[in-house]
Amino acid sequence: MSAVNWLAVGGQVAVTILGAAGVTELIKAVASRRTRKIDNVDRLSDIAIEQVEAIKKDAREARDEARSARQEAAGARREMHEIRQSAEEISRYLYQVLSWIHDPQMTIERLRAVVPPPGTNGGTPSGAPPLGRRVQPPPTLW
Amino acid sequence: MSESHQRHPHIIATGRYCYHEVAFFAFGVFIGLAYVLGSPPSTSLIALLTTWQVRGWGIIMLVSGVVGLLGAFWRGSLRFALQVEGAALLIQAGAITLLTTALFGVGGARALTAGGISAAWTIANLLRAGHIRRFLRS
Repeated sequence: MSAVNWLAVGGQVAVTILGAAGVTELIKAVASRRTRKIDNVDRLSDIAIEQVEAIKKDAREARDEARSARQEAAGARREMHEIRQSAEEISRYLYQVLSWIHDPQMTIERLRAVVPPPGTNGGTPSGAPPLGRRVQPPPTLW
Repeated sequence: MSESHQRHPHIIATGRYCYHEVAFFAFGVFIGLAYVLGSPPSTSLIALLTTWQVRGWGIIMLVSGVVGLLGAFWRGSLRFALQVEGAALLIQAGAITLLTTALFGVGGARALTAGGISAAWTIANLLRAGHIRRFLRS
């Protein structure tokens, strides 16, 4: 076999080896592209599920916080209502006491009779009626 | 990615920026088409190969050129583009090796310029293919 023939064989062997390697790489690229798409979809699904779980947890916590905030707000409204009622009663009672004091027919004895001392007749040490109890003026005065 | 890559970011240019490579792929398409369509082959190839082998060589050049250009200008996944480009480089390196052996086999030392250029083309293709392979494995 001549040198040229050897070269021809060598060249053809190189073409075969490198060509086969290239075709193999090409097939692997196409095949891995398909599987990579599936992997990516799986990975995206996992990420989506994780994010959904996290969002659910956040939403649950937010709901709990909103519920407790609503409860606190309702309690505060109730207390506010009671305080307003008490203030109105105290205001009315004070107005009555002032009316008794400035009544020309009022004497100190009668005033003592209509304004109970602290701690008696349902009164409080400060002289104010107990909360929630409406004080009516004595009918004999008006 | 390895620790050295993280410390020193390794920037890989995609095939579309390797102008020599793109030019050789385009030339591969041209010369492959020419030989497949019946253009008279070079005397060195004729001296080494039969007519149908020359046609086969033309087909290999055409396929590698088309695949290489496809990989070089692929707009989708960079990994897939590099894989395709590497495959085309290997196929083309095989075809150019055959041309190199034909040039040196027929012309001997007189084919130093043409054979040297085709040998350099082959080596460049193989180095680039190895580079792509290493990057894809990192």
